[in-house]
Amino acid sequence: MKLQKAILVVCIAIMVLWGQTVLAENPVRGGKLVVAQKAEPPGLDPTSNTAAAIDRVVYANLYEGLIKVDQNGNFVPLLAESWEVTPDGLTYTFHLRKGVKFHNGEPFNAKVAKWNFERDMGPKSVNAHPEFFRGIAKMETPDDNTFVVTLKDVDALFIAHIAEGDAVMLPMKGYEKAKSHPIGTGPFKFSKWVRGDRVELVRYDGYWNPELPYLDAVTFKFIGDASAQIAALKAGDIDVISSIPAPESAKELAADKRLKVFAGTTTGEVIMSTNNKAKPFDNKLVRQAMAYAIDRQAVIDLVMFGYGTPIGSHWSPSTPYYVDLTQKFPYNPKKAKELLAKAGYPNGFEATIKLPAIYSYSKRAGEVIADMLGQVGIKLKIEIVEWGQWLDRIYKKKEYQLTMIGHVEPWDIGIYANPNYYFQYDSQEFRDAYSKALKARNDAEKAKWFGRCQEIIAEDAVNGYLFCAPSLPAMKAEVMGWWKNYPTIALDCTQVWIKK
Amino acid sequence: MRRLLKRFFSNLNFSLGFVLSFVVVAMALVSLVWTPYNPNRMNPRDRLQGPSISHPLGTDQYGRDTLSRVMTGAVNSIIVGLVTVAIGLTVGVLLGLAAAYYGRFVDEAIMRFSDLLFAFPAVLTAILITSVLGPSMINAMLAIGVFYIPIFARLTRAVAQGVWQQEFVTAARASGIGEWAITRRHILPNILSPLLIQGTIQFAVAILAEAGLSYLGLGTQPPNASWGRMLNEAQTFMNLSPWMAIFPGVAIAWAVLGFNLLGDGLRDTLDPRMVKVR
Repeated sequence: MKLQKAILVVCIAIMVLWGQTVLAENPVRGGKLVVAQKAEPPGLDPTSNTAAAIDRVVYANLYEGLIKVDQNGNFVPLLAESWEVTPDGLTYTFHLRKGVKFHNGEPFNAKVAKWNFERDMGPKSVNAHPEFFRGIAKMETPDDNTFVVTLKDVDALFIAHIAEGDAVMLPMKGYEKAKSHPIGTGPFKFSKWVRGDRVELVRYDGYWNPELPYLDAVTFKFIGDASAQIAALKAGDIDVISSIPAPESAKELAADKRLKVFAGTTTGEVIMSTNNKAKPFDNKLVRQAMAYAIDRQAVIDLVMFGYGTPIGSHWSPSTPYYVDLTQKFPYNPKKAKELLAKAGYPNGFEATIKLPAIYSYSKRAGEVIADMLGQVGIKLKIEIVEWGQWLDRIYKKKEYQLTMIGHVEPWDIGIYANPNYYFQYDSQEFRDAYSKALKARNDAEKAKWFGRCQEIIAEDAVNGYLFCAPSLPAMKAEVMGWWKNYPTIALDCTQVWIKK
Repeated sequence: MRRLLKRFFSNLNFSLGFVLSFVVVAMALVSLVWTPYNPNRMNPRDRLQGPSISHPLGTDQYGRDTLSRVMTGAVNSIIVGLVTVAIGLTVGVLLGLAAAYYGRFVDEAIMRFSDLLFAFPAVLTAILITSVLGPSMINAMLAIGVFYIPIFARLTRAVAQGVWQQEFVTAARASGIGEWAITRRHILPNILSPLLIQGTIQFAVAILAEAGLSYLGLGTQPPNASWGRMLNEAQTFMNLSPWMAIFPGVAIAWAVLGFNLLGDGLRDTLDPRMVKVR
């Protein structure tokens, strides 16, 4: 009896211990991660160039700003431990983290923060978005750890903007060589850049959070070809593909037991851009009819192999204040025909859709949409155009009726307030709502007015809102902590670890 | 007539080529009035299927029926073959006849012009033309057709020169028949068979060239079916559904082989030199 009890106790103990090791998933330190990315960055300074490839390497890995976007799209403290806004929405007080040092040993403090913003907004600014900072009226540094910014006017997107890569902190000495030898406060420091091949980052031992990072080193490898990326992952030469370029291979990779694939969200809205001044698309009924004629889920299935989230307006589900408007115009070809008849086109009409040759998702989506619109009588002629031609003829000169493109920038609904943008959408109602959103003083007001903006363009069916592009990272099964969603342009490796 | 047919069909190349090309032409003709499905209609529920009873050649990534698309693709290929050979023949024969008849300066000019066209690699020329004029089936046909002009011009000139020196032409001249009438009554019929042989072979080359241009995205535009485009669309799906690439590939090989063999067979039976060898 005693023996039986003893055995039972031992069994239970083994089960508990085994359960702990398997279920707890405590991050392990050590290891080197190789991440494949399509494009090589033109430099490594995100405050001087807008290229997304730069942010993907350095954002949160090498450079840090006052505030960071986390993988759920929230604004979380980084170099600022906390911040307050006065009720009038004009003055921001940032409480900076103590004991932060740059990779070259320089301390980070309120003076450095002020110097950085002055550099970004000044007349000699090389920043790609100086307008992010030019709303600042004055900056004060009452002590080393307090940084007070006063704006000229309320700017609801101020926090969103200074959380982007354009507002990261550079050291006052050694910032000049940031393009080739970047120095930041991040968990990884720059080690080597082999042009045309890879950028190597190694752990920064003096990082302000002693628990992070878990990895010893991260290498970003630049592989342009989709099939070469996939072959390298399968062969084990790389650990992560930041985003699978061909969605049809995602299923195949997910089926491989050594690998895993995440299908999260991004800020990229894929839309059928419509020239709102070209006939017959200047007629709201025609645009609404098209919205009814598009089966978004079928588009996602056929174009993206089921990866992607349907959207009903120009707003990603991963961005705060999202309003789900996908049921505004549910798939209903009968209703589409009725609206077309009401608009004066009972037998439909013919139009041309111009598709940019470089993006396979756009060419595929164009073909699928042409088929769907064909079923309600709108005959689309497909024309494939080169990227340079697309930028010149369609984007700049607006010589088009319909096209298909992904808009990747977060918080970009403001493009609808510009009547000269290539959509040629002119609505005073929208402009009023957008300026109210920008002047919103609190979250409830922001939610109200940004929500209203989404509703207005959805109701007007300005463009065909199709889907939000999937993040689709693929990696070895033992890579843990990789972001599922890409709510901002970043490949944050701070909390990534490798299971042993 | 029956004897001629017998002579043709006793040739293995011709018989085989005839059967293969007949299938392609028949398929194209049938598709004009009937295909199992609408070749451009998408069907999300049936995508990437392998061969089955309802879809004998499977379906593509949009659920379109591959058999229907291969059938309408045949029409596309045949139109391209006919139009390009027609362009090459009309312009080429006229130039060749002119060169053979006038000789000297005209001959020299036309032949050097041919050399110039020949100096450009065919497919590169076609890519150049389609990228300047914009990708479309008509421009692709124009590009291939232009490249055919010197081929037919040279052939016509070479054969016609020989015929002009024949005694019956001299006799015709002596009896006072006009130059144009001689060309029509004596020269053309005598150069017909080499042109027919060359035309058949160029027909096959045109199918291949159109498939190549469409594969590069410069030929037939979506959603219309072209064998080359079907191959292009299939390539990223090779691991998921190889059927998508196999059937248009077989169709191209089949048609090109068929028309080539037909051309070879025609040459074997029509070319007087070949007959002498036997």
